[in-house]
Amino acid sequence: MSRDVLIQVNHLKKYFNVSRGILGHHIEGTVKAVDDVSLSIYRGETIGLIGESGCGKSTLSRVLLGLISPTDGEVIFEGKKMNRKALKEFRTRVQMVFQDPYSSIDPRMCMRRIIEEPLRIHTSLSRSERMDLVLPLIKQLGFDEEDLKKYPHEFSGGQRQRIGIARAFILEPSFIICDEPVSALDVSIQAQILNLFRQLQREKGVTYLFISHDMAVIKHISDRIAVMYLGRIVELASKDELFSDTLHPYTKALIESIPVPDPRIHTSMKPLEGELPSPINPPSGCPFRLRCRHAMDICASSIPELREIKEGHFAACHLFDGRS
Amino acid sequence: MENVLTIKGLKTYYHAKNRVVPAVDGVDLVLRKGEMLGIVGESGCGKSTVARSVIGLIDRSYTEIAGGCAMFDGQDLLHLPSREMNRIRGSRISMVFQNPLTSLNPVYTIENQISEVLRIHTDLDKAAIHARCIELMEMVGIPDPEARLKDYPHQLSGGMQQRALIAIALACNPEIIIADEPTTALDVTIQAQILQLIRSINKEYGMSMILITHNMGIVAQMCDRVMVMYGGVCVEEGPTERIFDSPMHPYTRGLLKAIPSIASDKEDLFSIPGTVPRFSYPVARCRFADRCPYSNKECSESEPELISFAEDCSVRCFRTIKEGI
Repeated sequence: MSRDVLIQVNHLKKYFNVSRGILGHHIEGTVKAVDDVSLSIYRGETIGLIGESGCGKSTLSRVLLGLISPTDGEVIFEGKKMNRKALKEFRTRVQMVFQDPYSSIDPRMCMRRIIEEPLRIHTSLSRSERMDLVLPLIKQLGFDEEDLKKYPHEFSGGQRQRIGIARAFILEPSFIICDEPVSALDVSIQAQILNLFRQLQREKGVTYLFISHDMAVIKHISDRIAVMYLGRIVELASKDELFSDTLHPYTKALIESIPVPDPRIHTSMKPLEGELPSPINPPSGCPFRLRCRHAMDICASSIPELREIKEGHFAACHLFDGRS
Repeated sequence: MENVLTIKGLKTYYHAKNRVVPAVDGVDLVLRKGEMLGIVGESGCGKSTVARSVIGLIDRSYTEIAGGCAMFDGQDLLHLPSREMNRIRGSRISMVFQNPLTSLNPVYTIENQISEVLRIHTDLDKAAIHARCIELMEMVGIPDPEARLKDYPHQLSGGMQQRALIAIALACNPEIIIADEPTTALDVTIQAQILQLIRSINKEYGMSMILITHNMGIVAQMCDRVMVMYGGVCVEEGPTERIFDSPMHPYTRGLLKAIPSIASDKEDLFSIPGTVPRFSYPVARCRFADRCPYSNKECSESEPELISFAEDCSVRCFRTIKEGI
């Protein structure tokens, strides 16, 4: 893997105001959905982003995609700072595959129109030229030419997800954000789609940001993994490193919570105490400290920064203050 | 061990516009006292319909119980008058559903919803009901029960809502609890908490439970015995360890190989080709034949029977047992 940075995220923040009253003038609090996230994504890699619901992983992906603008911080894509002017060009290079294959494709468009829509918006190709691009792609995804006339309701969930994938790939983007693309699918279909993502990456050299709440899926697909908790990245490392030498207590808890599909291995299922605190009034200091077994005095007063503890292995925890 | 529930040949058919969908097409099932039985399968395999048929929560306007019986305490649940069934449902057999927010009524407090079960099924007075509510909230691990009882469902987190739902299911000390995907809507760390709770209810109170799930990890960690369903029938059944150690049916084998696992690190996952087909009545072939690597002519001409090959172990396949595939 080359270490050529495709996307550089610097101190990205996205805050939402929670307001009250009919006109929404009274601002009650701020949700720090993404709070000071810095991240480099290298060309050709798959970076997995894992966290529980409400941790900000979807908001982060939306900011990266330019669907919402950040409160602060910057996103540099292929050397250029992303801003609203460059958005249209940027979108030809960055695409997204959504979670729900039922609501993310238009039920009133046939498959051909769904897949060629990005080409109609971003290129001036003729109908036959567009078809020259669509046909080989859908064949690769296991469809026939006949299927192009069909409408979404004629396809199963797995097939619909493939249509969503075809739509994302048609412009040959360099970066694709996959927001929980397999969590709505059955196990046997999930395996097909995961294999398809890998195969397409081998052939087209695309970079993925793969979001999931399923650690086993993330481990299977990713090269590097970022763990998010309450708007912050708490640990970032290569896949093997993350599992062989887990540093952050939250990552440990996440891994321990997964029921292992082997009755001889007893998952401790020693659950983490408590639940995700309210993002409106997060605890002072380390956002994880209220559920952490190792919480110390310092955790309440200062927010641990994401630091490189070992080469390529970052963690945000005061337990490692002495190490670096 | 004593059987608390015996289902024989259950057939539940949905009448669609121009076809009959055999959602459950001849399922036999035995639930023993104090055990945790898992029903596992993909969406549309009929696992929820089995549960709903037993507990009488199917809409008879388009659903037909086309055959079978479900014996519970000497009565056939499938053919009980609804008045009798209402007396059993919620008190002697209760159910925990997947989505806690839609299962709870948003306009009533938690106390109201737990005590409703007690008001209907017991003759406790007001004070006793309140005391029982608090006791139940403590059993399911909700902190500060007195205050939480006054809350409305939206004021609780997803994990707490699911605990409240379990409290409702436990209210009358039922003999059987059916949990239909109880943790699918929850995050992993909360899922672990709820699974721990379900296991302790099963062990401490000796309650018999049916756990319906699509997650093989949950089956492995929680269940004593497993039934694997595909296309409305049971394709394989056995003790959990046997199913995971030596799965017999090609579908079970495929399912186990298709899950990405934390422990293994293969380049590509094994995947079962094709998709779950939609069946119309009558089905006169092996339901898995189209996707099966071993299927032959016999498989697409007649439907295999469920063959028992060891104590508690059976499989519905022509070839695995006979030919030792």
